[in-house]
Amino acid sequence: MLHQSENCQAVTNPILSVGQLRKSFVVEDTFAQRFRRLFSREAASRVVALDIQGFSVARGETLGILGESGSGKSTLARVLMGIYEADSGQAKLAGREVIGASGADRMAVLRQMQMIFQDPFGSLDPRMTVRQIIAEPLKIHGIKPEGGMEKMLQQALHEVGLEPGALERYPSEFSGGQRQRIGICRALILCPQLIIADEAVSALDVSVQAQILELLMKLRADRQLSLLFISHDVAVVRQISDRIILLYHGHLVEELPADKLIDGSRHPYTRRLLESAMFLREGNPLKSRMQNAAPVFSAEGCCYRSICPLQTDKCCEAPPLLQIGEGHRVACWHH
Amino acid sequence: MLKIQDFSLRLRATDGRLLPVLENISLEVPAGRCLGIAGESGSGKSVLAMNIAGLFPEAVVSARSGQIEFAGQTLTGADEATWQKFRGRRIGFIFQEPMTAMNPLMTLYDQISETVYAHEAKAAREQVDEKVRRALLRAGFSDPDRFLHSYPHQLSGGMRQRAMIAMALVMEPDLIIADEPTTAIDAELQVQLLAELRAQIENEGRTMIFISHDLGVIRAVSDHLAVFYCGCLVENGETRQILAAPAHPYTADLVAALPRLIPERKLPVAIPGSLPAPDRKPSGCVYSDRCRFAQEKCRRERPGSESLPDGRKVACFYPLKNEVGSSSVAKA
Repeated sequence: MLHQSENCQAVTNPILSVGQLRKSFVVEDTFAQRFRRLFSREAASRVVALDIQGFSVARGETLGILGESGSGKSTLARVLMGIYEADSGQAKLAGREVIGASGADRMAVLRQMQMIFQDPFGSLDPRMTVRQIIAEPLKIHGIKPEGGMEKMLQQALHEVGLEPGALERYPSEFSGGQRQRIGICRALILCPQLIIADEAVSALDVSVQAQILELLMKLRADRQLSLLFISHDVAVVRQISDRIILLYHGHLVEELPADKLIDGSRHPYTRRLLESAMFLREGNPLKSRMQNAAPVFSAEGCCYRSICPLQTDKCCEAPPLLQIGEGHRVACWHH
Repeated sequence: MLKIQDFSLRLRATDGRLLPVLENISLEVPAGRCLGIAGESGSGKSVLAMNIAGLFPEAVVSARSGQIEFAGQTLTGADEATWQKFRGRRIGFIFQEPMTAMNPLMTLYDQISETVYAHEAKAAREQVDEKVRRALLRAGFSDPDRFLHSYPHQLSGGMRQRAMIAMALVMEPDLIIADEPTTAIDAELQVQLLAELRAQIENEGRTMIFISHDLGVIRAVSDHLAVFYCGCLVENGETRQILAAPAHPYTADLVAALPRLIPERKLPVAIPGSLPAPDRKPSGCVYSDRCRFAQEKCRRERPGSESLPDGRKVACFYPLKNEVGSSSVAKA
């Protein structure tokens, strides 16, 4: 259908390049439905959580992924990490296939790509000490650090701003911000090239949030890290990213340089997200009344058309992801 | 409407330590207004809210002094029977986490009507139905009948949060206490919920206390603002005034830590260090160990709350002059 989009990727020398990627889930059905399916050829009904065109992340770049809940941001992260199995698609990390990798291939991929999770409480095992938590990836990957384990752990702790004494303590003894530092430390210990941060600061107080963002920026500069930064917070994503992609209902609707977000974004969904963010962050008045109606999704046409103010007949046909400027692509007929 | 006078609270931790979690809080909320309470987690803002609603577990309280007065009646020291008359009926509480604050085995109708039956055990079914429906409409459900018999897990996050609001509104309380009701929600939904809460104040004349760590949200919803740090009230006054030119260094730092959307891109400024535990507060000003402007005097003595010429109160020996805070959030 839309293969031209893959030709217009502006990024040279990408660390991660994602082709078309699709993931659907079986809709939770009743026992009766499942029983009926046993005797018919009927397929289980599925909901498509992610169906995107290609994008890529350059070495040392931060790509922000923006969207509201249900837009497929976390599904994307989990598909890349191999937590969910994609229906179809390809993604290459430093030339190595990520999707469907198993065994030694998958381990090799994971050494280069680690994840920071949203919930600093749920993502650390409460019965493991910080030492065990941080050393676990090394153990799993069978790595014996050169200068000795102890030295490596101390260094890693220092790098994320934790006291050396933290090693023997348990996650419950730390505040939310400190726990997030432990999570970051665990993700960094393998020296990966790409970090996926899934709402890494959303659960934190604003003052702590600023500390963690500062830390991520410092690590990024020190280690030449690439970052896939996923969040629903427009202001945070804009501040930390070089480029941003916007997801709506599993589709990539716009991709643009972060500097262009406020003045240059064209998709009506991006504009709507910006308007509410401007209201909350800057106290700007709301121009349009926020609509309450729930969107209706159909398999055909533009994913946003049911609630789009610009909707016309043309929108019954899915818009291609069109290049409209340098590094700027948008999936809208009315751009 | 609500008057808090010199309220202090000390808790006894499980290991016997005495923790002063609230110190000499004096606040007033006029009827028909919204007071925003801002502060980091651990600053004591939720503890105060629970004390106003009589929801605080008494077992851990070691000492309590001062007074909380609501509609002319003293609430501090009230017995459980008195509390029950106020809670739910005159004071509505919107909790932070809809997933844990709702019973997963009860439908929306059952949860909301439970409050009605608690106060009017012999209420007629039709009347209760009517009340539940009206509460849901007010909380922004355009078609309440469709969701009346849904269980919490069948609702989206936003709808659950609205259902929490409906539960708080069903008895038409005079005072609504909202404890971080919009944290970790998409911006657009936040805007909608804030508009609905704001409508309750403006159209129905209710009074509200809105707790959040996000000053952007507080600006959108509140008339007055009280900034808490480490169990102390450091600055309070009109929301606009404070956000336009914070006088307390902590307020200014909190404002600078907000991620912004202005044209030039800057990372939010982190506040160095972390909130001290209640039993390790500095003996002078509570913020003196993190404050950029702290002097010798700040480390020695604790400043009292002083009125500034524009009417707000600040607990700081050296309040910031307006131009220092002029680069801050609010231009509204």
